[in-house]
Amino acid sequence: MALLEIQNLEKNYPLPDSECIKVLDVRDFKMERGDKVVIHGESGSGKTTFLHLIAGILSADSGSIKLGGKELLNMPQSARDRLRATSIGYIFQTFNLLQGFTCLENVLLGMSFGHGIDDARARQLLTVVGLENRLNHYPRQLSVGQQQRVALARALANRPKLVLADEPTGNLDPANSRAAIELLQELCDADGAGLLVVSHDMKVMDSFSSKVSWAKLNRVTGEMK
Amino acid sequence: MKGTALWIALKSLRQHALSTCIAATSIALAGGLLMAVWILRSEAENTFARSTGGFDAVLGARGSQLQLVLNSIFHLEASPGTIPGDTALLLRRNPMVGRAIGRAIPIAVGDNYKGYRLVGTVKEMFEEHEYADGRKFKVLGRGALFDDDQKQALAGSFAAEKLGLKVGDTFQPYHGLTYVEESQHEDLYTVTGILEQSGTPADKVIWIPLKGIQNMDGHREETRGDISALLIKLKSKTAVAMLDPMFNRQGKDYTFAQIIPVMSRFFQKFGWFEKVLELVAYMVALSAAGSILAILYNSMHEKRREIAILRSLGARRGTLVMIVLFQSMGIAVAGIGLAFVFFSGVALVAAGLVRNETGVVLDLFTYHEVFIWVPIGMLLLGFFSGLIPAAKAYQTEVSRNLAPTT
Repeated sequence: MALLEIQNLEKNYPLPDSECIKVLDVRDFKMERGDKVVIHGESGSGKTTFLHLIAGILSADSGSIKLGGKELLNMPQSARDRLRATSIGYIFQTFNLLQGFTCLENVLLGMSFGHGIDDARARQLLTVVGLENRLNHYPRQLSVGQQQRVALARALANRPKLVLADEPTGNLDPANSRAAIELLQELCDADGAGLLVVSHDMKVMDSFSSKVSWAKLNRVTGEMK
Repeated sequence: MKGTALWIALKSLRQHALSTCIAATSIALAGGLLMAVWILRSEAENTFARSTGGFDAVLGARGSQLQLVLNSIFHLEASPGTIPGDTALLLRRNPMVGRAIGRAIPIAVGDNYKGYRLVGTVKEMFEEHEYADGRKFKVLGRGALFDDDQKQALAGSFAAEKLGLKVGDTFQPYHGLTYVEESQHEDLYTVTGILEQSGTPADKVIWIPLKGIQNMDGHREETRGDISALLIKLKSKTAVAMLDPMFNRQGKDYTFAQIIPVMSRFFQKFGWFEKVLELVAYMVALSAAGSILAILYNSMHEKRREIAILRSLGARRGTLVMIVLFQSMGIAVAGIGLAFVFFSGVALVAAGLVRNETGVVLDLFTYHEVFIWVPIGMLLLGFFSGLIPAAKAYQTEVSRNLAPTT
């Protein structure tokens, strides 16, 4: 059974004049367990929407998204929330750490809606990403690269089946970018998680053997409905 | 507790400590004020009703019953006048009245020492009379009662404390009930004892022999034998039905005043003031609810992204509603704690003022039902104030607030 299977996925956004614009039209996309895939494409072309649909943050208008064989589109909102909490790790370009929580607490927060908190695992993950001395530091007390590593640890906290990373190196310098991608791949390998990265950074693409062009994947032509 | 909605709510409140404190303080002011108003009113009424000094009624000169009671029992106000010193004897001679009255102790007022009243009375007041069930006045340590024929004084505990009087001290009284430095008498009094605190108005006066007031130098010759009032302990409460019409309707020389009914009527006159204070407290409570709502609602606006992040981590909409409601109720709980602090401050100041003025000790910290329902009311206030912000959190659009997008 495929880890992720997407077919005929469509998403439209309403416009103020009651028309709709189609932003996403993906006919077929598949990932097996442990796959590491990068989707490259221009900014503003709907890649984030694609990830949001996979994560169940957005609802698609039609099509099918199966995660581990479970159809997301038919699920009630609460079941999708539960699936996201237990099976998906999400990494944002701006890290999206909660400022009032320490590094350790941010990772624990990632666990709290899933399988429950596991203090030892949170500490271990932060140690793996080299932040064992920063457990009780707040995000504002960390460098950008360190904040990204906390975000990686948080995304892996629940041992997800799939990690989604939206421009994970967008705010990092080249040296940190390379290190972050290597670390992310290592962490996913360790947990057997699949990894789907969207990026427009050529250096990120070079780090993946499986590359998909967003322009080819998304068949949107900018048509109005 | 880590990882629960309560943990997230408390962390968020801590992160916004200033606005949390402002909201908690405003709700505390309302709760504290409400508790203070209700407890002060009920406790003052109850305590004053109990602080009758062990007497049921007062007989004095024709005039206001309230003035008579305030003057003779609570040592406030001026005396409405004097009555003959042999009034007690005359009453005893009347067989019906004599049977109705258990004890009649004369007092005379008219002088002070540095603002603290001198009250002339007889030893019976301290030797035989019970100011409460089974409780008589006691002289502290090696002190003793005054001698009826000597210029001696027995200081109430509060008066002694404030004036720094101790056994063996001497003082010269001042004429009148108000302290005027130029009106000092020649008479020199010696303190023979200090009374143990009774929590009654007796604590805030200096007791001297009845003859002391009557014979003080400068007092008018023609009224030397007079007294200010007779403090009466009835043998039976039903005797009032006979004494009240006898003195107040048929007679013209005396006023007979039952202490508890007079004080009840006195407190009823303050009913409007209590209502005003209650109204103020309700308005403060309303504004506190508004401030919690505004603070949480505005923070929802500021925290849209935070909420979206929590949702992206898998938090359900219901969990976010719980987090916001925990926040609003957390503010209310902090407010409850502060309300008790605020109430304690108001109660201590108010009790001190009442003791200074009347000698009556108000016990404002014993259990009262408002200690239960005011906090419950505050919790409900916190809950309802959190509903609108919680609804806003519920509706927060995740995708739109997880900026930036690619």
